[in-house]
Amino acid sequence: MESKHLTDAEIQDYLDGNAVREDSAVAEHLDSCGLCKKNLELYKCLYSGLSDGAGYELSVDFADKVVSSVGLGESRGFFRRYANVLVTIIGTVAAITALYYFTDIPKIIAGGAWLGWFDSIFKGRIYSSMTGYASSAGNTVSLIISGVLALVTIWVVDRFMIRSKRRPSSLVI
Amino acid sequence: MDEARDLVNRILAGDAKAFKSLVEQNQRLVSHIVFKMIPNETDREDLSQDVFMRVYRNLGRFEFRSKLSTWIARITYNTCGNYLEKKKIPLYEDLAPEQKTIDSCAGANPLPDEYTEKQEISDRLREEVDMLPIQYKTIITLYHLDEMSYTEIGGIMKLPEGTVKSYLFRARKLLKERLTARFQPEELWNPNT
Repeated sequence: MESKHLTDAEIQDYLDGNAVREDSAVAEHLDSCGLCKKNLELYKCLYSGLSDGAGYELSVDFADKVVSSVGLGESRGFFRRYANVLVTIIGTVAAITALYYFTDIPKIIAGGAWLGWFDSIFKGRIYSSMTGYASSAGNTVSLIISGVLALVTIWVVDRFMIRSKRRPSSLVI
Repeated sequence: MDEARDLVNRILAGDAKAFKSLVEQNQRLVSHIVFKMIPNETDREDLSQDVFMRVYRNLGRFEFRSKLSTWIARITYNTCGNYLEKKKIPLYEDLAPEQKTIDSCAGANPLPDEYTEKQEISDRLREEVDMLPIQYKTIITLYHLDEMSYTEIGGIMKLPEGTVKSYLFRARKLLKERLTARFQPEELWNPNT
């Protein structure tokens, strides 16, 4: 050990704190070997220079620029703030209305209409209205079931398609 | 990690102050990578801004499998990689023995006389680092300035740990040789200079 000089890799390992040889053995060698000590000092100088963080400055207001560029922190008008809520309400009403007028849910649920399911779905309410089939009691049940189904649909879309991505809504790129 | 999770949740809830805090905490790291990888000075700030916009856009997908800073560094590295690809600047180069040095580089300005020896050494070293291939100088920067481990650097640059260590050692050895070719060893470590 005393007669064999340390390699560049060993000196770097020593300075990095990953020495393969015992630290004490390396230190002992460095005490007795001027050449290796000189090499160590060169590396120390190099490490010191490499840790100099000058010259990497971004503009002083960089963080503010970034925040404003993504649209965070800007005051938004009433409509923009509640746009999502309004869209959800309008969508829910539209879905319930569509289900109510274009299907005959109780008829579908009652089953036994395997072959007639197409008629039930696509002609249900309109067909019934036209033929005077629907009673007011039937309409109420249809409305309730349609409403529940619409809400379940909206929840599924929200939970698995929108929230799973969790993207901030105010991003402007 | 809990602090990072809290910060992310606040940003996702639309907290501008939290996002500003994230930018301030990580802009140094981002600038280290961008400044080392991007040769065009005028594009650096825009690119740094682009990095944080990507961070913001993808924050909801961060799964806390690594440190937030490591994830941001990876986005920075990829953003710079895409930029270099567009500009047709090679990201992967090896340290060739005939690699040009500052002395052979046309346009290298002589250092002003009033510079002290220490400043001259420091400037020379920075210039020599800038002359290294992009991957080498990025590894050096992440290791020495951002104090990242080989594993973290490997994760950011998609390189095996052994390769990171090998590149780092080779680059430092080369830099030491270039410094000693220009300066007397005593000049380099004498604290009075």
